[in-house]
Amino acid sequence: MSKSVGRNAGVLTIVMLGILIVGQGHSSLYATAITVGLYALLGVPLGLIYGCGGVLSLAQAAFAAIGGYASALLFSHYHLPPEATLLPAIIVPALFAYVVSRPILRLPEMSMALATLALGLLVEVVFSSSGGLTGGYEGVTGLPPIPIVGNSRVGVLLLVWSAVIICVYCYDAFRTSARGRALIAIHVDRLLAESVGIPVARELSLLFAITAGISGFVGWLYAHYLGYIGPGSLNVHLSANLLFMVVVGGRKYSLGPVLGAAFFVFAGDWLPGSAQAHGMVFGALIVLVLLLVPEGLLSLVQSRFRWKRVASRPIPQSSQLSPEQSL
Amino acid sequence: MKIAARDLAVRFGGITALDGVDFELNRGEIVGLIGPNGAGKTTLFNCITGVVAPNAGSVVVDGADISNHRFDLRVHLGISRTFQTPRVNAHGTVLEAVMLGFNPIVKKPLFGSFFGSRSVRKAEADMESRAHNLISELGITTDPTKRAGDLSLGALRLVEVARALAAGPHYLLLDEPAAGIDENDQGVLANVIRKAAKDGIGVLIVEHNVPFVADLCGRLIALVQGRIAASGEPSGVLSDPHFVRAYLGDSNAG
Amino acid sequence: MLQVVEFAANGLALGAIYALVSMAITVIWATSDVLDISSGAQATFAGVVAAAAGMPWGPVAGVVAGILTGATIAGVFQMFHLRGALKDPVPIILSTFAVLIMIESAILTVVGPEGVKLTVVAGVVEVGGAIILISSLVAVACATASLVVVALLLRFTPIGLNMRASAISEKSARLVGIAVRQTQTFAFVLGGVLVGIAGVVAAMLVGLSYSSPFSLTLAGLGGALLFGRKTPQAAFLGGMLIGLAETLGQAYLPSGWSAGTSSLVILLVLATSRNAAIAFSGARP
Repeated sequence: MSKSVGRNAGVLTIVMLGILIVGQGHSSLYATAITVGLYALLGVPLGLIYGCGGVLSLAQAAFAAIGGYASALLFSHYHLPPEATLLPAIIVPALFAYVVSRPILRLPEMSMALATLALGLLVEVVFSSSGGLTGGYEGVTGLPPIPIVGNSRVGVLLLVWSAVIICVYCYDAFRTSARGRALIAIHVDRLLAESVGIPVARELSLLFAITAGISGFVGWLYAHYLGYIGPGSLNVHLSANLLFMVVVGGRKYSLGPVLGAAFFVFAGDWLPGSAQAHGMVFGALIVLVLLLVPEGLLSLVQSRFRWKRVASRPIPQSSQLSPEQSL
Repeated sequence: MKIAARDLAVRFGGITALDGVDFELNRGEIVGLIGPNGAGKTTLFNCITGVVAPNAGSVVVDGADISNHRFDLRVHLGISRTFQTPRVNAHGTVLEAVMLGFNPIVKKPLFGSFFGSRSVRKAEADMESRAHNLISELGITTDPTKRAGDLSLGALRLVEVARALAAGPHYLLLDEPAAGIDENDQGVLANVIRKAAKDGIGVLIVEHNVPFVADLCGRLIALVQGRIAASGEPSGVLSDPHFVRAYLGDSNAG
Repeated sequence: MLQVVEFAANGLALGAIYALVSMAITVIWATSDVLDISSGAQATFAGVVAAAAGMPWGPVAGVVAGILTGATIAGVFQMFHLRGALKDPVPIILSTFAVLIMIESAILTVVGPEGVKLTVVAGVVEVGGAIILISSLVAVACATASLVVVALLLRFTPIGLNMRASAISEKSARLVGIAVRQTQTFAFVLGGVLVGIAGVVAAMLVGLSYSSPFSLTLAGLGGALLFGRKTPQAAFLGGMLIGLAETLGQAYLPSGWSAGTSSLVILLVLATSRNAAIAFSGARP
């Protein structure tokens, strides 16, 4: 059981090494891989709380924006270097998520999605409208690069992908732990979870806050990688796209969001026509995938190779046995 | 050491489900709760486990008033329950279903869970073998690696009982455990219940199957229309005219 | 005082657009358990078509466009049904989100970043000194008439009865022999008519651009939620109130903040709803 926990992380490590080697000849691959990595870093935690826990969040990009802005504003107002703002960039969104989570996470799935969507939009409005503090629509520019790795593409790539690999490892370890079983139980049936003593609200809030903290870290990476953050950088459309990535890649697998992120970024690069017109093809593709492969693209791979170990077993859907079934 | 409920009253809108019920369950005894449909059996059950908050009255466990405790906290005080319609993760295995029951007594460090620390992995392996033991101890013959969704209702109810016992409760509350299962499974179930009581667990059984509880329980409580109509020795309760009238009057309806 | 009247007129006119979208969302929601995120996009599409057709046929073209998009969503819904994938509502709702992105992208590609406008009626009327646009009155009249028609349809026609039955319980409706799928398709088309009208009214009143779909959907959702998302009457009132609140916000809040009105309403309604577990059970928000 414990052996297979690291397998997905191992697969991803090999992919990263492959990118490093192939990228020597095609330098644009590095930039693409960094984008994939940043999306994956937002998507994997979302995959955990949505795929395992049924928490449908459309606020992940907003949490990243809070982290990015926390770092940017500490720099522009107090001249704090990124080394010093890393912790606030993680803790501020995590605390924010923890505080707002209680009334939101008790809602059923769709209402939860709607509430987090509204939350994300409000965050966006606040950042774009508090002109004096946040730079309004222009955002904050001239941010220093990420410490240690600096402007080196390879360095950023290694940093981002290492974080993704750690996240995937943690996802798999968590899912096979007692706590992971508890999370799945919450998704299956809250009454069942409570009957075995799981404090449902606290557990969900805690995990939600952790995903927000990781998102905040992505915001920090993003802001210092590009040297800029604005209200449009990490917006609700990204949150929606993240959810698409998770579902298209496979919400029941730890690697699903990574595959989804790669699918999105590469499709964006390879599709002909202007970026504006991509939405049409994208939208159609998403509808097709949802219709034809509702378990996500990874389910095709998984069912072909029949990797039947604990770590790769799909997470059950919420399905308490109905009385008709059981009688 | 007992669960004691005093003067419980529950109203749903205009309907009075429970109307001043006193109730006791000692450790080591088996009590059956019977009565026609809508008599308030499940409501009383839910009041004790904390799914339903009573409008009046108190629930005291081992001397501590838990009337205002949340549902999930009561498990930690040693009250485990099953459900009328089994609630399990249909896609998980039998083993995982039973392992979920260890939740109240297992340590779940946050970072250890995420990083797969040695202590967490050890606890996991430990729990797995204990779940295997529990399943075989209870005489459950189902293959532990089977998907819970593929089980028969009888097997599922036994798995639920195993899950409830995994936490090492002092009180076990079973909601219609024998309903809809065959004689063989009923026999296994009866043995499990007797064994639990022998180990000092107080067992409360809500049941329609009167012969099943009459045979098993030392004491029966008959609820009719939210009130206790009769209680005491099974033979006494079953011949109590007050109860018989209510029960037979309603039994035609289902 | 005059200012208040003018505010109210502007707010109600804006509210009329939202009310129409809210009604569409509510009707679809109640009958088929689908939260149609693309409603705002359908309205924008209808409005853009109306503006491109120009007068006098613009409004008709707009409503027809609305019906077509409504029918498209109904088709997607039916395909999910055929695939037997209706147990989990999330993929369908994500699909409507994807449709929204498609329409946004299409409008951006064909029309460009500039907005479009359709002039139906020009001029103003003076009511006791307050100056009110005639188009505002037309907008409110359109929304009110739509409400009356939808309410009568639901109350007095056989298809309305079927819709109400499907809304209460799809299973029971099917058991008494109602063709639930056809009823739901009809609800999507009816929603298409409503968002078609909303699009025409919005093109006439405020203009539409590629960025309109999302804000229209959000305002529509807010309106649908505000008074308990059960009836078109509640949706109408909710939409109107969101319009009023947004107009007030535009006047008194620093620039930009009023854009958060519908989000704030959605968040507050959902977060404060007592007994959320019961009130919002199932797939319906």
